[in-house]
Amino acid sequence: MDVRNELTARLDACQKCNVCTAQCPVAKVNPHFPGPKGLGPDMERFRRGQFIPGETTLDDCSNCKTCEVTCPSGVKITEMILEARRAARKGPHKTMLSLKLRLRGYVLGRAEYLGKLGVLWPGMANQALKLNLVRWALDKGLAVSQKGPLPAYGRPLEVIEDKGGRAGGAFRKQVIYFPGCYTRYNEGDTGRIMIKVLEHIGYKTIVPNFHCCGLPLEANGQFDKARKNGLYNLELMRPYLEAGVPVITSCTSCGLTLKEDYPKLPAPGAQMIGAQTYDLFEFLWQLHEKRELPLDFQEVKACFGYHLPCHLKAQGIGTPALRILRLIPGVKIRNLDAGCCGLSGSYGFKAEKYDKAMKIGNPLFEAVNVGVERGDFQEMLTECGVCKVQIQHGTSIPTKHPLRILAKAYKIILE
Amino acid sequence: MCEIETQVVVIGGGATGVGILRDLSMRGIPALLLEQGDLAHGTSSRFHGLLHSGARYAVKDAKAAQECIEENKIVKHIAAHCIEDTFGWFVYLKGDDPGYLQLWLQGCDQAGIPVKEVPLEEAFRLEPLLSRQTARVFEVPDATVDGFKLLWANVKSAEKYGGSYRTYCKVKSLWLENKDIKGVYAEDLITGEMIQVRSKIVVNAAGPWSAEIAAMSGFDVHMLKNKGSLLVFNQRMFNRVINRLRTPGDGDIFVPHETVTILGTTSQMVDLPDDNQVREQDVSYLLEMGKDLAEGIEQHRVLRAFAGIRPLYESEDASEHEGRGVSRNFALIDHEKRDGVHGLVSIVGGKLTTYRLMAEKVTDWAAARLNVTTACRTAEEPLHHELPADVWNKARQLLGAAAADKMMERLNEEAASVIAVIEKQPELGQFICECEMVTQAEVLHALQDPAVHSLDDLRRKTRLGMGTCQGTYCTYRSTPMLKDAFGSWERTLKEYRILISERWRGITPVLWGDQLRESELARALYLNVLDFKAVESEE
Amino acid sequence: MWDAIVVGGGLAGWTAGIRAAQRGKKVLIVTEGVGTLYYFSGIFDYGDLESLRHLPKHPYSLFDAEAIDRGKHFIQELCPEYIETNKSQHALTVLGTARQGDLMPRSMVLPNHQEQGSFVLLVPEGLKDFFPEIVVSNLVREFPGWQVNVKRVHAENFGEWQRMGKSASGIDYAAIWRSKEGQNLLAQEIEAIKREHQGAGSRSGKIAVVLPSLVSEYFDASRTKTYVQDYSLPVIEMSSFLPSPHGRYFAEYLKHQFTDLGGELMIGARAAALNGKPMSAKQPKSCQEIIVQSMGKVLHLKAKKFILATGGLLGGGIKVGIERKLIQEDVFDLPLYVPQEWSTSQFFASQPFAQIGVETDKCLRPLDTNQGRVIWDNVHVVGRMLAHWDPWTQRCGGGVSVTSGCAAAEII
Repeated sequence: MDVRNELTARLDACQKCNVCTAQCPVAKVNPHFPGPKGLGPDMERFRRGQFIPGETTLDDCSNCKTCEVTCPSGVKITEMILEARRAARKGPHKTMLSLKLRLRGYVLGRAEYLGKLGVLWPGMANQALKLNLVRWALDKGLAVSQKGPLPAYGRPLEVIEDKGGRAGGAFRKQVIYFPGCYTRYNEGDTGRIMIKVLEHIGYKTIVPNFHCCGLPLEANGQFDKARKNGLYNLELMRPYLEAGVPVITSCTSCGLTLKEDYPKLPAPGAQMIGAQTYDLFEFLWQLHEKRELPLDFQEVKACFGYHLPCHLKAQGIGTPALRILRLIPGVKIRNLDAGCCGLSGSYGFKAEKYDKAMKIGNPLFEAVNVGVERGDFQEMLTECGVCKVQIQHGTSIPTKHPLRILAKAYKIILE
Repeated sequence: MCEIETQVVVIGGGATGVGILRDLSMRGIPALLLEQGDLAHGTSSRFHGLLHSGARYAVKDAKAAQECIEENKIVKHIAAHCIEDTFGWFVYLKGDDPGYLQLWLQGCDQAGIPVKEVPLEEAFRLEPLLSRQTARVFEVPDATVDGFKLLWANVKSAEKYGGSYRTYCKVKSLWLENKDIKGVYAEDLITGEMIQVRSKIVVNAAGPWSAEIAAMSGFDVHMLKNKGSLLVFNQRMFNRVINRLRTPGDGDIFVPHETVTILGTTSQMVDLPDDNQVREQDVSYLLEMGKDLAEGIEQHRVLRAFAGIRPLYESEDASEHEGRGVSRNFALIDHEKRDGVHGLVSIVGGKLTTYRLMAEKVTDWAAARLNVTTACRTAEEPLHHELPADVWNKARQLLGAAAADKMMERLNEEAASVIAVIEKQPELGQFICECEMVTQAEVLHALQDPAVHSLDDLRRKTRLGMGTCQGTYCTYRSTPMLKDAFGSWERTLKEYRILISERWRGITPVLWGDQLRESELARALYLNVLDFKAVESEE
Repeated sequence: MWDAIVVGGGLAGWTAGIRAAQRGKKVLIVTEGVGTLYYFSGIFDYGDLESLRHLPKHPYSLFDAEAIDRGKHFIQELCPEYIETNKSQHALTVLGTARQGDLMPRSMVLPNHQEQGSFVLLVPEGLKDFFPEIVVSNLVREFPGWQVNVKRVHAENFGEWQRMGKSASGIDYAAIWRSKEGQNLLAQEIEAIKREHQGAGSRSGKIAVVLPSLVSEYFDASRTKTYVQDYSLPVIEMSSFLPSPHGRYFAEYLKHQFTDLGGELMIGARAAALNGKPMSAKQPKSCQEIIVQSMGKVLHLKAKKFILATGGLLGGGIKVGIERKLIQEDVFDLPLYVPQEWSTSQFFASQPFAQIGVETDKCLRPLDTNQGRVIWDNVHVVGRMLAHWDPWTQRCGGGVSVTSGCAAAEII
């Protein structure tokens, strides 16, 4: 069955029940948005084979995929919307975006280039981003919201080439790490800790010089570039995939892209990538199931709230981080499960969407604040970098990658 | 008893009947059309929706082919808003008869039907579901036609020229004095009132019911009632009409229609003109046949099945055909000549594609008897009205392009007033039917039409209930409007039950997969959430 | 290794999962979407227990009276506001007709028809799929001794929606009524109604405010601050239309209950098959693991027990192929009872196809349809997957789901 047939079949499954719309975080805050059902399966029956000019609301979808995990009928709603967005960009009457917005799409889509620039002089970039004048200029010049929580840059994660010669040869246990732009440029520390954790459990980590996974490019309408990146990355991974080396992600959006979009690319690695990509904790859990995960934990006496990123939820693997962290003596975690944080990649950075993104995140912020006030926990955990930034922005509660708790339990880091 | 006087009574509110009404009215002949149900409730809405290019008849019936291509061009011109100019493909599969292919190409050429071969690779790219057994593909100017819209456009135009019509008005007998037609007696089925209509001429255009009407004069019209069953798929599987290039037969045509695809057709003789229940074996047969043309047909959701009755005319004697212009596909029976009944004419057989030509022939006949010399103009004067660009823009801005375009096509010249209402009260721009994107304002507008007597009539006017959910949600959403229009709560509930039962009749033959799930959802909604009382199932 | 994996996140699945987690078990719920709880009116129907229990093979016939009571207690412990009285109690449908129901929130129960009084229907502006005129006329008919008045209420949160002419869903309005601002707004409106009535000097009978899309705090919002405003008049909730606010808050509440008890939810994952082997030639087989499709890969999940709660035809647990040539239970490929006749010509009648499902023994283990042997020793079937019932005409959807879910959890 090719992709088109799959979408066709899923379109037929829609029962018109509107549950997706009821759960859609964007529809709740944006009356102009027809909702996932309206824009997805409803419109799709009109779109079939035909281009509908003047569909102006396609870009309002934040691609959080809440509709897809909500749908009682398994309809691929977000995918339909993205597909229509692709067609609209290719169509004869391209959506008439202003130069400013096209430029912004270019800039926000290229988290990677920004990252490379940012990390050349991290101090300077961070200072610049803190300057009101710079933010004002970004807002006016590129419609990048003045108030949005643009992440800071740090020491980038180093590329670790495979020095063991033949892929999969020298080391019995090795993994490929796909850090993603956020970890690579904004939070290199997390990447370095991750490599140490993997080392601790007996795995050597290779970090090829990947490009951006493509998700921010897709979200900003740069479909061709996204595809090129996918093909490039797949080609880098191919020898390892063929040798059966797992690919580990610590960013949930990169993980979703590797699992969902890469298998559709016309490249030799595409057939393997889905099954061989693991979220870090998913990987650790399957080691644990095989009794291969060292359990030499020290006690970590702390309570945490946990936010499940939308793009991890969409992977359909549950909450492996909670499973692993609950093995650590002393750790108490409450899964808040209070919906999307609102930022959704670069969505919340856009000037016209900032307020909406904050509204979307409100139930989550409230759940965090209530939990802290009640003394249920003092800190938040979440895998996704931008969720983290948004939660801190919305609540001022310290938020970290759950990996850090594990590293602490393994005595790899102190805090 | 209500008494009405006119010149011509037209019996039957199908495409032919309304075409005749329009033609008579345009030639200044006072006429009244009587229809026992709603307009288009019969064969005119119960067919595959193909506007023939004539290519389907190219081998078997050269005359019909030629008529079709001529009328095809005319109807595309006069009723552009009812037509989607999709083009049609004739698909020649590996192993099909090469002899027939040659005959077909010659036939098309002789009839003047333009044929263009489509390279296979392009064909598969344009129509990904096309069977991989396809060997050659030929494009012809087939199109799809919306029978409902075409009928209303004709009626609206006829009204402007002074013609009138009454629905739910059943002819009970012909008024004959010494074999002279004096008019008809009819019953208004809504009020129960009897109506006497005095006229010089009665036109029997009752389609499958023609034999019954003719029998009222004491004479037989030999009619065959042939049931054709069709399936409706949930989405547009193809963007062109897909025909099998072989002797036209069962299950060999897919017609894309608005948001759905129709697969037709079976052929089975029946006794009653309203025996349109589809049997499960018809469905199996259609699907079996459809598999040859479409890949993976079994993965597609079938919304419903429906059937229409083709009124086929079998003449006993070729000499009774009136004029050379009438091919053997349709026949004009002059009962004066044949049976000695003055002023009665029956028009039988035919295709929707040639409805205008049939109307022209009948009107010529009537005009001659009434000494009217005005020429027929129905081939030139458009049925639609070009709407100004600002109305289009406004509609698209208010409703979005997809919904606006469909509504504009349905409402045509009446669109501007509905759009004005939506602009003033934007809440009326919300969809009552989300599947087919029908707004509340449009439903309210349709309800003002005195010819809308039920929720089912409303469905034909608006496409309400014709989409994926098959009326589950839009029926509910129409509640307050129904109550306003029809009065009591009991009546509203009755309308619910009638519409849902009508939809159910079409769903039961295809009760599997996603449509079965949808039906369970509908049962949960009506029997549980809305607490409708369950009825005892009949023994 | 889990103690139990529940496949399906509808009412029966959540019930089984939570009850098992309450009993200290490690439970995973695997579900593709949110399940059919979003179609929940807010009322649990049990139906005519006595006569249904005596119907041959009806799911109720698998349980004794105690098991049915245990299910009710389970619900009432989770939401103490759900009550059951000896005489029949009624609630309003979204159309304003009175509907009988067995277990419903106290705040939904309608006053006695014989009493006198007046209703004030509070109409949220632009509430989707809600028709105040219909509700009023139905209320007047149902309650001849009562006065019915209407008052509109405007929530500024939806101001932009209203200016565009767009309605807001019941779920979105329910969120407003549960917020502090929304409750303050209601309190003011209700106070105004009270003053008006006192001003008019109408002392006769009582006044009750009727409000659609209201879900009170009985589905505890443990993740948020709970505001409980006391209103100066009694407020009657109406039951829900789809997608249902009651269903939504109930589902969220169940989810939080479950995860706070240590249960894990795996949403967006589709259970596709299982692996198992016979314990011995003549004995039932034992299932070791189920195979679940997650994004991009297949997971093998091991457990001691498996609960099948995939929701029958509507939930997608039973797939009926084209022309009904292939009818399948979707995960374990269990044998199904399939009625000979499939449908009746009347839509609003009992439909034979509704009876389709898995036949089980009293421990809810699937049976071979021919010989009546237990096929899987550690698989238990609950809710709509059970055969021989029609929740809509027998009005026992909630009852069968809760009872069977609880009963299965007791076995884990």
